[in-house]
Amino acid sequence: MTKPAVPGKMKITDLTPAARAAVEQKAVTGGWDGKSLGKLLSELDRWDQMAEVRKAHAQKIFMTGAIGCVVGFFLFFVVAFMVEAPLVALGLAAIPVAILITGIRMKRAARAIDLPNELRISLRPMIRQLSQDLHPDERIKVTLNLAGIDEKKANAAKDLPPGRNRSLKQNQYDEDICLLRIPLLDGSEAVLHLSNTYFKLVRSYTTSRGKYKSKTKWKKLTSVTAMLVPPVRISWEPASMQQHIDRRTERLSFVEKNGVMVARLDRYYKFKAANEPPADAAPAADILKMFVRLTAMRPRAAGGLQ
Amino acid sequence: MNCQWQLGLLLMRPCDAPAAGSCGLCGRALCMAHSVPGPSGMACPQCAASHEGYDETEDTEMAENRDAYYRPYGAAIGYGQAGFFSAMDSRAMNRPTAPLRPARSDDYDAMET
Repeated sequence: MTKPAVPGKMKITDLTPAARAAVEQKAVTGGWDGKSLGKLLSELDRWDQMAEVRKAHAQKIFMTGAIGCVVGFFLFFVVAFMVEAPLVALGLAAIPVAILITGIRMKRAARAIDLPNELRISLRPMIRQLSQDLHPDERIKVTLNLAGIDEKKANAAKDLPPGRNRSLKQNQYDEDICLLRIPLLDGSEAVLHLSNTYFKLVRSYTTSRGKYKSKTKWKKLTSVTAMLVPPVRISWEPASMQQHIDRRTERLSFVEKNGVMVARLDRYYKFKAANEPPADAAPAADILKMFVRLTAMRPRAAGGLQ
Repeated sequence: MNCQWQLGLLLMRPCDAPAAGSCGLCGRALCMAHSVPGPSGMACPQCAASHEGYDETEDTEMAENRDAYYRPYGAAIGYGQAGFFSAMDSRAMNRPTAPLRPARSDDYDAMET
């Protein structure tokens, strides 16, 4: 039996075999019943929290090392040439460098075990809230990608017109987070597709004092697609919900698949951050509201809001 | 009489288990599983979520969220249609008989700029 662990001290052996496999393979696939999936997501949630704690700790060590290097550099000269103690001076310079290297290594290690925040922010609360609507005998078909993006493998890279800058480079990374097919009690199926596109913009410029500098900005475009596949052909009645569709960020459409008309609602988000990819994700409440609106568009006889 | 608590979020339906009592705030019949103990005796998860002094359970949390999801789409008052809030739900949500819980820091504030 797995024992609960303090987030920062958690090890992979504290996880159940299913969660361990998910963390190692950075993926979850196959058919899951609601309870098992909820349990798995809750474990992965704890794992992600641990990774966040480690990332924050590594950042602190990195910053300590960086500040120590600057201070150590001055102390090195003071001690080496004024006090004339070269060994002490070398130690003063070497210790912060060692701390800095440790910080960098810890940051890399923490990043390697980190899971996408969508798991914690979007998926787990959503599955939890839908638990009473799940079909007891059917399984949720899950394709979940936990790998995150690899900054070295951009899907597209281009040099933008630099303008006042020395150079302006943009890398694009695409990430398919998940496809969930959730069977509901009435025989219909709720489908959720989450995908992200990241843009990394690196601006290099020379300051008025002649220093060469570079700044990185990240933009994350999240696309959430919620679909409701009814068990039989129904005629959707979207009139009552049209006023509740935000036309700036949402798009409602109906597509025919396998002889039934499927209602589809897309929603887009834009998140920004400097230096690191944005940690924000589409909130579970928004995704649930999308499904609520889709179910409300069913004809009244099928349980819709008319 | 059967339990009148509505299960689910997308597909709401009555619990229909044999009732063991009733909500001390809105009066709906409740089974043991959906009774939340508190200062006014037993309450349904909806009333327990919106009033102070009741235990926080999975049902109260889900009831609170469900209210938030449906309210913008006009499903709060006077609906009573299949799959949506019953008259009991509307009464519980709109006519509080005990003090409402104090606002939390992360509550939605329409006047916030």
